Amino acid sequence: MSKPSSSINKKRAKRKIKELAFILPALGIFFFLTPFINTIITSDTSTDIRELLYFIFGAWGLLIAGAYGLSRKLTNEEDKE
Amino acid sequence: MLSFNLLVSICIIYVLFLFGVAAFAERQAEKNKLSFLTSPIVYTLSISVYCTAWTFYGAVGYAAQNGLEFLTIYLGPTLLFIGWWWLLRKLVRIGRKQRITSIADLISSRYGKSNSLGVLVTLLAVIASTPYIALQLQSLTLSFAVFTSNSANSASPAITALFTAAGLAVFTIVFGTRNLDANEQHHGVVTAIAVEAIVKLVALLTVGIFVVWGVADGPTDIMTRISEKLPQNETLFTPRWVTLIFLSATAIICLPRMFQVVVVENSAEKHLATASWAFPLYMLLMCLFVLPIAVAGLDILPEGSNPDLFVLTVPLAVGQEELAALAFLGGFSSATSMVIVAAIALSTMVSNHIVLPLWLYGAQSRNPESDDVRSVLLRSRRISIAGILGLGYLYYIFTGGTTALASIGLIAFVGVAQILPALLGGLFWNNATKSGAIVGLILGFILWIYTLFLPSFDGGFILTKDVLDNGLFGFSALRPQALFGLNIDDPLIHAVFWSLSFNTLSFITVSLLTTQKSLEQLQAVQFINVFDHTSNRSTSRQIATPEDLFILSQRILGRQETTKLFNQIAESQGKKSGLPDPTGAFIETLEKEFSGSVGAATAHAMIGQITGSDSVSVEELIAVADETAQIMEYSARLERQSKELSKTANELRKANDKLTKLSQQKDDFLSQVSHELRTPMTSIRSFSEILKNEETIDSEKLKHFSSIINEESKRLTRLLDEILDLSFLESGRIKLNLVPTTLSDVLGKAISATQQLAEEKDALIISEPKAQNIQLITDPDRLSQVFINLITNSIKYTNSKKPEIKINCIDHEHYLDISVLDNGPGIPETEQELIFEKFSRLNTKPATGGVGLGLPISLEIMQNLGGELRCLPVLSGAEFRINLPKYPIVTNN
Repeated sequence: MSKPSSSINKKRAKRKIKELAFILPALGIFFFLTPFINTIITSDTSTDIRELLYFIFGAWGLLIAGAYGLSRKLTNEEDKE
Repeated sequence: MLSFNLLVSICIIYVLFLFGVAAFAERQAEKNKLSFLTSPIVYTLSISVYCTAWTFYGAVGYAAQNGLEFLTIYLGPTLLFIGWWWLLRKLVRIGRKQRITSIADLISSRYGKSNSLGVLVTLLAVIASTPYIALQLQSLTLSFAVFTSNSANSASPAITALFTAAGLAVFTIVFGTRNLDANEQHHGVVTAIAVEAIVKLVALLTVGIFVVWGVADGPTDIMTRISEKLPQNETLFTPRWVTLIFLSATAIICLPRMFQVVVVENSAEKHLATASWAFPLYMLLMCLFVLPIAVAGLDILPEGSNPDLFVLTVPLAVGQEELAALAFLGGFSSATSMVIVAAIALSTMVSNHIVLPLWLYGAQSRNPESDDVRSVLLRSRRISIAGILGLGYLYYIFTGGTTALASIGLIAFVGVAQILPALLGGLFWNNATKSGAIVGLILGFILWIYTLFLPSFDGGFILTKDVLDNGLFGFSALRPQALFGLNIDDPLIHAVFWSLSFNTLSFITVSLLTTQKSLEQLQAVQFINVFDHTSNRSTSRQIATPEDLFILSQRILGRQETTKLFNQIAESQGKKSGLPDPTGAFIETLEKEFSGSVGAATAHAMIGQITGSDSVSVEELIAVADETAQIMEYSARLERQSKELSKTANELRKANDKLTKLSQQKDDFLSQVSHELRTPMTSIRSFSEILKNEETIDSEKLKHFSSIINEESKRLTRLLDEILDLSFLESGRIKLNLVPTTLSDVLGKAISATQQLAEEKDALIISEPKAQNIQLITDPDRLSQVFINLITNSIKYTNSKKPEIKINCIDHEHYLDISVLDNGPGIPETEQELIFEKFSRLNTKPATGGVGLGLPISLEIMQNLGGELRCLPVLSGAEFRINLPKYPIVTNN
């Protein structure tokens, strides 16, 4: 009985990885293409461009790191298939 | 200050270096040493052709004027690349599977290989790319001017732009059209572009690092300056911000040069995975020092300085000429790489979708066999490259080279974005039709030309100032930048809104109102379900190994057949052992063998897949072959069972026929027996009644009647004996007494038994002397019974005055052929079979007192002795032939 359940779990894990590939651009859209970005400006009374810069480059770097991890996982999965 | 001549020399040396890199890469590719050339790093660096002079120079200028807005141009592609799994992967897969050579080819191919669409997309791409090429020429001219503004021998901007365009055309022609590759991949150019990508990144980073630590006092100081000097964005999430991110993401898939590097030049799908993070990282690094350089320029340069040139002018202003020269080289790399790739991509589209169809149309009036399509294509590409650069130059001259670089780039972005609805519809919408795509593209294209492209000349080309201000024919609703009275301050957003809205809506509406042709439907399925048909794994070229072919063949032909075939081929190749080499002839033979099993088309596809460059793996093919073999096995099993059932049914039918026949024979036999018994019984009863009732019967009559009763009783007894004898013989229950004897003994016994009858009829029985001493093992009594029957019949049925019966014998090694021939009337051919039936007597024969069981009994005896008895057709008389084994294997019938 252990074999089928482990196979199901593996399939589930694979599906999750592929779903993560959707989450990453969605997160990017949330960061850069929604009014959320305006909260970075208005949250501080000084409205400093520096904070905005830190946010944009920080989020950008985060997405790159995520893409790096995900690309390795996706290609590993592809190789296994 | 660097002299003009030194600058030109640097450029020439740099270009020669690029020539060297490209030539080296081409040579490596020719030798099939592609490992580095087709690595993900080279692929990612080649994608950085996105970062043109617009990025290198324009981004700083853009940032100096609009703050953080310049980032949109890089955030859009970032979003697209981190989501590569959903769109770019599909594009690349389709590109590889359909052997797509350009964006025009993709659209044309998706919509039923429509050439009209190919032409339309090509025209749109050429026109939309013209401002972009002009942008590069402008940036190069401006950068030259920075160094030569105070020099006496400096050339005019127009001349510089002309020479630059000519030089770029030569480089592109030399390396972009050296040969025709089936996949339109250019390893030399791509490697040179990768090198340029490193140069421009290093140059911009070096300038940036110098600005942060050389001009300013480190990061903190530069951040403070940024905060103070740069325009503050009160809100970022504006329609323009969203529009620019959207446009820049669109540019990645719609710009011909980007399509070329991302899709056409892709040698493995896996490379996209690396590019998904490496290319955004490259862009992040390119953007990292844009703001510091911009703020430094604003800080240290005099007011009114061109911000597009801050990358050059800031180092120059602080006396860093070497750094400026490096920056110049970075800018030069950015511009040249873009122009080269764009020219290659566009020239491919022009030659494939415009020149070649026209040439083929014209070829109808020429002798096609004497024409060389290859040279026509190469020539047309070379001319196209020159033409495309010429158009860029003309745009530069018309616009006067004064417009900001970013504005020019955005015009191009909106132009190519018109391809997006047809492209996305083609990839994800089954019902998207060619008509819908054509109408959408034309409408979007016209609106882009009218609302953005022509107004960019500021009244200097086609649309006058008056039309721009008051609308076409004076209709204010037709004002190019306030169409239908919609006043949007930003002309870019205005143009995007109208062109893409009309484009998308008309594309959807017309698609819903029209129907696809069969080829369109087929292509739609191929495009939309591309992942259903191919593997995700390695897409690199697969070379079939003998082992692969052997395994596949086993699945199709079976182990024995495969081993036999492979051995034969190996022998013919002169190999004493092992598998044959996968030569063309061998593969052709194999395909033919497969054709017999799986059909020609499937065999061709399978062999094509295993030996070609398609993305289906060998393992998958083997799985397919397994399935096929399984199906074939089921089919064969069903066929076998069906045959068995049919055979059984046939046997049952035969058995039934036999039983019916036997039943009929039994009825006939009983009827015959009844008849044969009835006759003597009637006689016996009649005469016995007379004897019983007639008391005064005289002794002579009494004797006569008694003898009749006696004769009939004997006849009755003989008949019953014969019936019993036949029954025993037929059932095989008869016990034969096999003993060694001679033929003469047997024949002597028979002749003696028939002697009396022969004398009565004056018949002569001649027995061949040769037969006398032949030794054999048989049942002498039974065999003589056969001879007696035959001799008796011959004597009885002959009507000759002097009957003659000849008995001949031919002695074979294991058997004897004995014939009994008489000189009687013979037996008609039609009745020769019938005489062996029970109770049969020939109609033509006179009554002899027999019951008609003699011959059936003789036949049964011969069969029991392992021989046979036949009646032979002869010219005169009747001949019976006995075939008798000398040493019989006795069969029980």
